[in-house]
Amino acid sequence: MMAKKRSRKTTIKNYAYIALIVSGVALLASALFGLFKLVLFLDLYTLQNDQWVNTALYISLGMILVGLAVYALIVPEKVRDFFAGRQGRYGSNAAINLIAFFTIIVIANMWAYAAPVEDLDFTEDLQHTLAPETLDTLRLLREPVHAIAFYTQESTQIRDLLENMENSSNGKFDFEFVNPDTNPARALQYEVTSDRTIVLVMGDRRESVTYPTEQAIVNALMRLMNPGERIVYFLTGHGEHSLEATDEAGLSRLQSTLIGKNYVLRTLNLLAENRIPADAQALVIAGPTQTLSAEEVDLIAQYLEQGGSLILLSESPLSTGNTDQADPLAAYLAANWNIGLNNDIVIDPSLDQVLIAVSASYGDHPIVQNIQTTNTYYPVARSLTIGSETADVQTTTLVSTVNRAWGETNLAEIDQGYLQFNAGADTPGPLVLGAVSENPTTGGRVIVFGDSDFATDSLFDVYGNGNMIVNAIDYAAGQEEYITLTRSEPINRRLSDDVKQGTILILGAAFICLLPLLIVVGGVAAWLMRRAQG
Amino acid sequence: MRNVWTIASREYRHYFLSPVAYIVAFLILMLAGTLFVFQIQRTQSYIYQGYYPPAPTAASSVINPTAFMMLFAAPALTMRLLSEEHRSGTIELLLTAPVKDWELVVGKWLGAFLYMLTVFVITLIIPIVLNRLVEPGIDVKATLAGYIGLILLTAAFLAIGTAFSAMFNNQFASFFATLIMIVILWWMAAWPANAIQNAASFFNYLHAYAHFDSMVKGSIALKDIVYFLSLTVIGLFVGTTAIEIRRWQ
Repeated sequence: MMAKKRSRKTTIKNYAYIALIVSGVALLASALFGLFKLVLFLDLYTLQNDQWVNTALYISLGMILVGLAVYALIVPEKVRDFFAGRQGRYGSNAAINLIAFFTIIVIANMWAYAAPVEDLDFTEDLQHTLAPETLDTLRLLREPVHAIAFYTQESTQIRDLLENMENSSNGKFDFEFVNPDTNPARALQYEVTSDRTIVLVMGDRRESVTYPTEQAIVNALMRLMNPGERIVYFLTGHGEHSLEATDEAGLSRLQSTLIGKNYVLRTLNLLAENRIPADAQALVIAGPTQTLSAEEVDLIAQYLEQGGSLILLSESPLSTGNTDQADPLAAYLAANWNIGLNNDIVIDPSLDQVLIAVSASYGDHPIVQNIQTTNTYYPVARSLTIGSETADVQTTTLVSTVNRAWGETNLAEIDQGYLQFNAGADTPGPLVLGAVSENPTTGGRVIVFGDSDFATDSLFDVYGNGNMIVNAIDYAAGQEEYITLTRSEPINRRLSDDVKQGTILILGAAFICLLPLLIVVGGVAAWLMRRAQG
Repeated sequence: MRNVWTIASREYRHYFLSPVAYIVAFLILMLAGTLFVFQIQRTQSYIYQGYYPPAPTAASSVINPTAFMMLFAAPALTMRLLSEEHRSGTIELLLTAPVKDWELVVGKWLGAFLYMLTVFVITLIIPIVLNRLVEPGIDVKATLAGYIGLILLTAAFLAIGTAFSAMFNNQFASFFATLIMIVILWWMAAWPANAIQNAASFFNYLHAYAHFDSMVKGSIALKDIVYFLSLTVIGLFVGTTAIEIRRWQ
């Protein structure tokens, strides 16, 4: 009986290696499935259903363990020998220690990364702390909001801001960064056309922010929470720029940006419709090459009296060739809204191409608030004249040129390339390129630019141009900032006036010569001491 | 613990006799001092032309240049720590002494760390002088945050250097391995983030510069502290394991 049992045991031991082979094959399979999983993870290959890869990976990992366990059960003494050996013992100890240690480190970092702990703001002017209005808005969120930041290169500043917002939102706000270059499908899905755009998604509604700042994100959140259709009409019939056209003179970039901001855009032919629809939050006249009729201007006047908003992107009659035609719209705006349209072409010596007017200064107005430090460019523009302020209309200059610019009234001079300021005939600089007039009683708003090309596809992405027109439409449609953040202004730290050339010489002597020299002397002294000690 | 302190103070004193340490201190002070004076001079010339740019900060004039120098200073200061002992054979003496492996590694690292702290104390003179030149003074809290970032970064880089020093007999091998590792963490860790969208936040997290930069800008996050402490502990642990492996080999 004993002999029989012994022989059976021996037989099983003889086959122990099969368990090791099973483990080895499972290890190979695990490595292959793991590699495949990595390929899927890196998006190098996509599968409709990758669930089976996980299952196969788990089964193969399980088989490694089962194989090893069976081997250990059949020949425990061999396993003991392996681990009890000096190399084996130390080696496995070190391996286990390293694995345990790295696991702890990884868990600690994952915890620290996700922990809802607010960052400490170590600036005296609290530049990393959210404004109280932001915290209130986040607290008011009823539905979860997901922010998708489309950045070709991630911005740490925006990540910090979004992280701060996520931590203060009670789980109602989260975000992700998406690179539109490597993931164009996502960008297309959310109609993102420019880099550094944040799309906020709440349910099936969304808002895009093209100039992400704390203020802009909070206002987009407010708009998400207060939905309502925003309809803007674009006038047609006078040679205006086309909304859909994707050529250089088209407005397709403006159109897609406005649609991303939940606007509904419609065209309007006043001669055909004979009225401005009641749902129009703003009417845009983008670069008419023909003058509007007196009847059309009457309709616009009625609409503005009822609190409507008009954006006129005007072109100089010198460039459209309408010098001999009366312009009833220009006459109406000058008489009722304090904005006169001059029949000239702006000559701006800021650039070599003197026909391109450049923004030299901006006014103090919500439309130009976020582009104060960015230039805007207006090719072949006309200048505006701001009339004297009347009791019921307030007019603000939005953008003006440098003092050296002038409004040339003689087309022949431009054609001949002989440009000179003629006092009396030409408009002296600085010239107004854009202005806004408001009637606080009726709520009517009129925004006029002396150029229309700046908003077209060829120039929309040039510096602040796109923002200028989008901000203007936002303002006209009453979509200006819901809230202004009451953040303390950053402390302005300036070099003291006491710092003169003499001070700098002393500083240079002390910090470039003396201090490093002291270190050299110390080093030589130490070297000598060491030599003396042998 | 006493062993750690004994080794650390021995190493610390040793640095004051070593030319490498003086070269490191000289280069850091030279670079920071030059940038500081240059920035003051440039700002002053702008004022002379009628512009009023913001004044230089402690971050731009001393903290950032010092952090940049640490990329080279950390490998230079640590290459000798344990490699030298291996090469000269004195490691045998240390290993037979009643000193635990971790005490040896931590002690060596601490010596280098204390030396760098001494150099940082000298650099403090720049923000102190800058504070006098700027109205209404520099942002003291942000400067403090920047120095905390610099200290954490130094601890991490020196620990990485100590680990490689424990692995290699050759000082130059240790120097270049540390330099490559630090350069990867400092510059290149976030590169794959643009290409591999799924793991973008992982690679961005590995990027040492991003963690340091947000501290320099005055925002101290738990994850930044944990990141640098983790690097430090990993360095010291790997260093200790390397010594242990040498022991039983």
